Amino acid sequence: MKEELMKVHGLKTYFYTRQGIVKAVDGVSFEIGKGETFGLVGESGCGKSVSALSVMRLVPDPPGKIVSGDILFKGKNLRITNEDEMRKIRGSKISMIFQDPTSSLNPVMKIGDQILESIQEHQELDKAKAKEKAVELMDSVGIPNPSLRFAEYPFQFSGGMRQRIMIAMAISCNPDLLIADEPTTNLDVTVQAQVLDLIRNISRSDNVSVLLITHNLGLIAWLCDRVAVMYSGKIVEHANVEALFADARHPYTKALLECIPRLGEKDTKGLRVIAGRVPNLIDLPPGCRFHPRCPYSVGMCAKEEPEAIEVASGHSVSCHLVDKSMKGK
Amino acid sequence: MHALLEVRDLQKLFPVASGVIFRKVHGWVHAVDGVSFSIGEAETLGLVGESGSGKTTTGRLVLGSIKPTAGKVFFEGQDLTTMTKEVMKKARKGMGMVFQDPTSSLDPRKTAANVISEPIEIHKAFDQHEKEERIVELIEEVGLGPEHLGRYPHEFSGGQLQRIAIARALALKPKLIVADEPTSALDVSVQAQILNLIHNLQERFRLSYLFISHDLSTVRYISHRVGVMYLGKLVELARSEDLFSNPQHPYTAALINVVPVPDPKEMKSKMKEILRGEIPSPISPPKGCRFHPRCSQMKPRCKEIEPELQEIGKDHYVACHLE
Repeated sequence: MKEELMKVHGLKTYFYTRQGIVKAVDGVSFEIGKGETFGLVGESGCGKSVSALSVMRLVPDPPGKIVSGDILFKGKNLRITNEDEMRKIRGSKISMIFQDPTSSLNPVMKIGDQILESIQEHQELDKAKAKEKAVELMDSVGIPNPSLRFAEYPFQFSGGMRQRIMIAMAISCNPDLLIADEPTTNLDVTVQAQVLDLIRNISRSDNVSVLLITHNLGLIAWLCDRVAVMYSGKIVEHANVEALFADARHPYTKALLECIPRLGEKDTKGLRVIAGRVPNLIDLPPGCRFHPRCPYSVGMCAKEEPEAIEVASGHSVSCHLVDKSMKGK
Repeated sequence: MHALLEVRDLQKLFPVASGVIFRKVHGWVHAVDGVSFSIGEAETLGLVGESGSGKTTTGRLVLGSIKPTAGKVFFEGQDLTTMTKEVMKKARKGMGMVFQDPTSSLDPRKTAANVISEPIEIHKAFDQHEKEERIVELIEEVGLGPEHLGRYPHEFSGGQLQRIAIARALALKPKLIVADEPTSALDVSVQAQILNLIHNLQERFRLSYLFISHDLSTVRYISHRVGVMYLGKLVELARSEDLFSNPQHPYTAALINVVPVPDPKEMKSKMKEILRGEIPSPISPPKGCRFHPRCSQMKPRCKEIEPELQEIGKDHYVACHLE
């Protein structure tokens, strides 16, 4: 890994609800290097989005709370940073784009004014200069006729164009880290490719680190340098992207890779299915959280929670069986 | 193959109107514009396309839930478009449908048993005793048990709800099921379960499917033949293997090229050429070939003349001027 930008260590974010404590993120650790694209992948409810919100300190409180852990960003611990300072970091040092650009934009405010707002919040620029910069930004994210479209409203933009606007706002203050939470889930495949290509170009040309959160392993394969697979609030496998796809070790990662239909081949035997369902986050199974669904599970899996074991340089797996009986299977 | 469903030159225009009392029509959305295909017995035809390509409207036209502006839909040799409501109701027994989001397609105040029995009651297909037997049979067919029958939708997971929706679609022993994005709202591991179920049901009951999806990998997996739609037109129609290994239309090729696959090496070589631009408005589709403004191989005549769907190989149809 290159020079470290962010290090998250032992992060636990719980939600205190009437039904009980929801352990959405339960001891997650990862690092993001400078200029690196790091992926968090998992199914719904695995805690990938809550991890991102925790990093931004945007977990709704109550009911949510970061219970423990450290979020070190350029040496500063964001978990104990006060709210005023956090406000300065959000949008300028770390910025975020979300799944649905329609609900992230104000429908009754001109697109240009919304970009201006994010520029003027963090930078001392007069209106004319700021406007010039906003138009430049719109141009750089691929909006045709930016000076004309500056005065239009969100409904006059297509979904892909709105996401480009969100990206323009996110990069307006040259952040060090861009968090993209399912940035293309609502977009068509051709537009998805365009938006992701844009994010990749920004990351490369401005050396911006990206935290990409997605359920789509294909996007991880395309964009990420390193990746962590999450299941029920825990990271189960953590590796370089090449290692993860060529040599997945955790039974959950393997199963996840096998249950995706592929374009190239047609398998008549049917797709691999992961039996059962994701456990309830209030009432988690003891031991390894995946054991009730795991085909390799042995007695120990139900009793002891597995620690992360490094199987190769930069490749760690949280499974009791990783170097034993699973070999060759 | 004997065609169970045949669709000929189907067209649907939706008016674009303004005004509250005096509606003034000032344009038409060309949602589906001259689409023809057929589906054989025990065959799955996949329809892929991006949003606004007209795939969902095509599904609704096939079901007869909306009337076409022009064109014909033949189901088991009968023309659905000229039928009266009464005759239509009978013909519809042969068709079922499954929607994208089971949480909104199932009534939250009905138990699973009520949901599944609804089509039986509408058509008065069985007597009380037979109905109860049929409901148990159906819920087991989709991989759930009789103990689930008394539960309400909020007690089920998304995958289970989709199973109930499939059981409802199967209630009257249909021959054709129109499935509109049936797995798009589900997680990947659950998606695999539902796809396997859809596949197994076809083998058991010789069902035919019109499978509508924007996800090429899913369509590739489930379909025998695939049609690619763009702005209300079918641009390519071929057997699944042929379409994906040897796409002829530039749009199909571009679409296949941008599908993310879980393989870092393949992705690095694939994503070099990304289709630019977005789908134009279906209110005023481009003249000539509708894809020409985004096509990298555009020739002058593409701007003027609309290409027809032509057979270029066995069961392989393409609407493109390029050789």
